[in-house]
Amino acid sequence: MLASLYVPGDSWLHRLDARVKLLLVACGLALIFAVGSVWTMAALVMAEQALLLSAGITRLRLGDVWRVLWVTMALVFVLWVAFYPGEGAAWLAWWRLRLTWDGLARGAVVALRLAAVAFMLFFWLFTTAETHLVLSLQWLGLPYAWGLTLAMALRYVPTMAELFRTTSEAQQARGLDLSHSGPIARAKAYVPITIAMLISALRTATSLAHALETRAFGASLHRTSLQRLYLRRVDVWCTVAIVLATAALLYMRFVRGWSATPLGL
Amino acid sequence: MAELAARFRGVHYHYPGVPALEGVDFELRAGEFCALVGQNGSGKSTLAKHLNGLLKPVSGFVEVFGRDTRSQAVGELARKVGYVFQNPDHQIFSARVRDELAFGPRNLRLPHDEVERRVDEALDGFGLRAYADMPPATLGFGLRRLVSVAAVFAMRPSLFVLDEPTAELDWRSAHELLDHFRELHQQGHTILLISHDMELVAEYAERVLLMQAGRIVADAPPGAFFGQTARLREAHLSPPQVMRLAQRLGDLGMPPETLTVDAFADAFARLWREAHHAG
Repeated sequence: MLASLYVPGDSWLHRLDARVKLLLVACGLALIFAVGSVWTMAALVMAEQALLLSAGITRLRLGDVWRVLWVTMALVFVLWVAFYPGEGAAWLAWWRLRLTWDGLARGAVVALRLAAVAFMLFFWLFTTAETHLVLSLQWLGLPYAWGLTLAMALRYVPTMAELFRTTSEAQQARGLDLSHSGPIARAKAYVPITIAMLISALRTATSLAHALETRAFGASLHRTSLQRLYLRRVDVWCTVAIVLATAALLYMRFVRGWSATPLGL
Repeated sequence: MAELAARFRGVHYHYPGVPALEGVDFELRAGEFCALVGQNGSGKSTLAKHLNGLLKPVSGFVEVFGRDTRSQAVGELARKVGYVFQNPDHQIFSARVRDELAFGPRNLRLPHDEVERRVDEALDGFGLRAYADMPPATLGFGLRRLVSVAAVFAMRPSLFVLDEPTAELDWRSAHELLDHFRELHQQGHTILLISHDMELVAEYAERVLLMQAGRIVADAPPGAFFGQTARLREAHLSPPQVMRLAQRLGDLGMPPETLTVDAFADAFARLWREAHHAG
């Protein structure tokens, strides 16, 4: 079982200041939502994979993310294509369905955008230790308790996934059949798992709250921190590079019309 | 030859990147009370989950009551194999204890009267009658554990797989729970108990299997099993305290394979009488 989303390491991305990574994520997200070309979006997703691999994130870990993502991506793509016909001549028209290259490309852009956003956030989550994560949010002006809450919520994502798996196994061992074909029957089959999981999650949350309180969380209003964030020379240069690159790409997108259309470059 | 409840042949299994079972061969005879012990991560739960089809071997095969698990769904195997999970909270979801106990039998598509009959039997058998209409999630841990066991009991499986059922239970509750299973064993059910509590293993099991790094490395009755001092030390296990005491009193005539406090007391009384008569 994974203990948390953070993958310990000493790569260039791990060493980058947490605030610079936060800036990288913010600029990356701005770019992801600005560009509308399927080719650029695919290139962005591939670049993200390459950067994460270069930071020592294993293919296995990336594969885990894809396993969760692909179902949602496929659903988004199908819904988009079904409800947004796109522009240009249809090469397939059947009942209310009209398939155009433009519509398919737009569906692919939205599905790929989902992956691009997820991997962009994983730049931050996979390579930033929880303490640094909280400190960077605190630096942004967020109260410590909020930062800690977010860090703990993220920390518990893999735990909840494991809890879901175990609960599902426990109910299947009592004869619960999850192989129903219809969506309603399938949803109903998941009720015993969801409720058992919710009860366990609430129990865990209560225990966690008690554990925090018994260790005097919140007793001191002015917290000091054993660890501090230090901006090194390389972090400053990275900040400058990120800002300049984002500004240049946004200029290209909005002034020069780069990557504006689904099939354009 | 006794009927086989389960047969493992050359079973290998691995989680992504982590080997868990590396060639497991063993047979569980119907009607046995068998304990499976070993360090955390040695593969005990992985082996157990092969019995109800939650995991299927990567290579080799597992037969449960003569049928290969690869050709059976988990729901189908649930008729024969009852799996009690380590944490009762992983299965409790109903609004009433009665409904929680009925969940399994209903999944087996039993007639309504039969479901009710089994629920009543389980409520009485595990002393849960007073809690029948209470929400199980609000009960204390010991009672929640009983509810989870009774829910599996209501499905009437032939083989019970108990994955550390006494974890977090006090001495008395642990014994009361295993007394239920001793009774079921006497009625002919097969029990596979996973436990880290060597006192309970010595007291209840009639056969002990030791797992280490995905393999079964020892298989013997408790007396002989706990006598393998070097093997136990290698697996970071030690015999029950009463057995260690009996071994140290071996020179005085105490049988070294004394497994329980009761057996120790009997042997001690006998030795005392003999010494009294002699001297």
